[in-house]
Amino acid sequence: MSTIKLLSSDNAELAVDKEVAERSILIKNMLEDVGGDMSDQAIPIPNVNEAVLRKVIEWCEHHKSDPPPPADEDSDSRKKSTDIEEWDQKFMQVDQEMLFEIILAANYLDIKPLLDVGCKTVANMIKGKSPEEIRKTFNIQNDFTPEEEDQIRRENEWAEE
Amino acid sequence: MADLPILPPEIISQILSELPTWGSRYNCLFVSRGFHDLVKSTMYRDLHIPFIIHDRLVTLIRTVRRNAYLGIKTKSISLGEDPYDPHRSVERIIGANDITKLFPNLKRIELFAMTFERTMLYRFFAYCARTSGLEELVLHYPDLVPLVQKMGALKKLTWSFTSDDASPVLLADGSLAETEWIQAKWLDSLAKCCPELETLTVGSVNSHAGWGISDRTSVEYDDSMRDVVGPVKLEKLKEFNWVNAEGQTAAKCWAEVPTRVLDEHETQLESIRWDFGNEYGGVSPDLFLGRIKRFTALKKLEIRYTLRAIWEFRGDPWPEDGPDINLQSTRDLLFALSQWDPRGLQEFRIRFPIMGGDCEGEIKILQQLQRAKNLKVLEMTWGLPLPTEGIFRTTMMKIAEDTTFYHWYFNEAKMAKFLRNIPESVETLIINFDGKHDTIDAYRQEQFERSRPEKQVKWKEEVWLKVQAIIHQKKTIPRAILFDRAPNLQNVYFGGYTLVEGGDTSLGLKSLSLSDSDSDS
Repeated sequence: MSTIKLLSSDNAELAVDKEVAERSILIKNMLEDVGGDMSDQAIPIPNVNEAVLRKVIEWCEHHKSDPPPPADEDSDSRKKSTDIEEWDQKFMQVDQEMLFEIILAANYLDIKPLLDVGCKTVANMIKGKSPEEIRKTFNIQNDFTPEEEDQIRRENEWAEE
Repeated sequence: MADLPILPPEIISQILSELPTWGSRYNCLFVSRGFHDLVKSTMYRDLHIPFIIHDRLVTLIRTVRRNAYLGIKTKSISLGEDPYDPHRSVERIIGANDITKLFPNLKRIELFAMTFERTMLYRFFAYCARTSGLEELVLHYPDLVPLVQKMGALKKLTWSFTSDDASPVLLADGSLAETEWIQAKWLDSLAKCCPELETLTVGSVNSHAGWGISDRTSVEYDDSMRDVVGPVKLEKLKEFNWVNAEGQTAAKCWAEVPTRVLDEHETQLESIRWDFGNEYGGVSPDLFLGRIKRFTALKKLEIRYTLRAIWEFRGDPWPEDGPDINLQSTRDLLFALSQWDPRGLQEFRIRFPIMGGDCEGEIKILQQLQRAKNLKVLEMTWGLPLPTEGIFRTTMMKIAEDTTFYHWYFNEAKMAKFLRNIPESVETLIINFDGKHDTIDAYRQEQFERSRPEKQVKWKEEVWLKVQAIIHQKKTIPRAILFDRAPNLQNVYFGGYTLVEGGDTSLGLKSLSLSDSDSDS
């Protein structure tokens, strides 16, 4: 099995199986563009630091044999945000900064299943929380006036639980 | 602590779209102005409000009417009446409010209309016809109702009807003949009203197909007014899906639609999905299999066998008269494939609910597929291992604790033999034995309601554990066996197996007797 090297934004060189790295569509396309041979040269990943890149590789390693996603995205409409595999749940038990970094890296590297898991994890952190709790969790300032809040309440009465 | 706003808006939007419409998303509206705008866009872009209760619907419509900019955002709406709603709100509110005026930019509408009166659907069609950009319509209604106005941009139509032969729709005097005639009229209306239609999906799309009423009593269906509907041609139709989701096979009287679609478009269809459910009393698989050799333009074929309950399995792991056949219908499939010239086929997917004791039936299917020289995508998946006893009398919940299971999947020699028959041209290969029951697992092992003996089917814990132990085995097989056979392989998913360098590449070359098969206790 061939190995390639990835160069993180903080100049760490990480060796990874080509099959694993190709979970990233960005890397897969890059390798295809150069004819698949990058054995002597590290591929720069300028937006991702070493710690995050190691986490992303760990995820790709675990999921290297996953089946391709179904062509029809709606084929299992019952799958909602609570449906995160046990391994992925544990994998995502990191501090918030790392969680967001993983999401950003998945987005940049075009690893859709990892991006989905990251988004579902954050969604689960929002579920069941009041607006004030959500602000506190994610360090967000409330910039509404009481009048604006009243208006939102009136407009969206139908969606209130 | 990191701030959520460091994420770009499109990712926050994806996060918010994972939240349920009510409650969580509502709370997010109050978090901050930035959040509010993203949540609002997400909520209204894809308005998913099936079975909405009366009060909520009233306030939603009032809000959209007062704030026209909200309705403009909506590209897709999924709307459905709560069956226990005494106000029949969706029907009445749609009737009084042209939904396409409220949501003028709709591309997709899904309507759960099981409690609608038939005439209400005509008004609904009129609204759809006024939405110039409407590309997809998904309708859940117990009966078929011919379209009456042109939907010029419509490319995809899904119509899920009540398939069960105990449906009130089908019980009235003369209703069977009437049902056949209505199907012909309905297809004729599609030809007239949907000139751009490319994809037609008909059948039982999900569990909602099992209920609903229809007031098919109008004078429009009086015998004296019936005309003879000649051949119907949907000029742009490329894809036809006959769906028996969760094993709900349509009653025989619903055969008119698939018969006509297949007969009139046999040289035109490029993609067919055909679900085989319980064959007793339903539309027969022969309807499709008997015609398969005529589909000369077919590029994609998907076949799913789905059992609503284990006892519906009609196969024998050890038949006396020859090699194992996974299902009775596999014999028919094999015969049909042998009559067919699949030279244009590029993609073949098949799902078996049960795995037998030997793979001879599957190998024969592969051998037929070897004639499809352009086959690029092959997917073969299996659900459960076959329990050894009580199969025709009991459901999984009653199987004894000492039950053993047949399967061949984790016998490396048999798997190697199977792999050696894969068509050489394949580039994407998906093989999996997932241990899932197609209906029980679809409901996450919760109570499965149905007015039949298997009502309240639940996995028995010990049986479930046995099945999990079987399907979670890990085996290896030499990589060369697969890649020597199919050198163009680019994407492989091989559930339960790891491909390894080296190993015994002569695996599976010696002949195997039936007694070699695995059984696990």
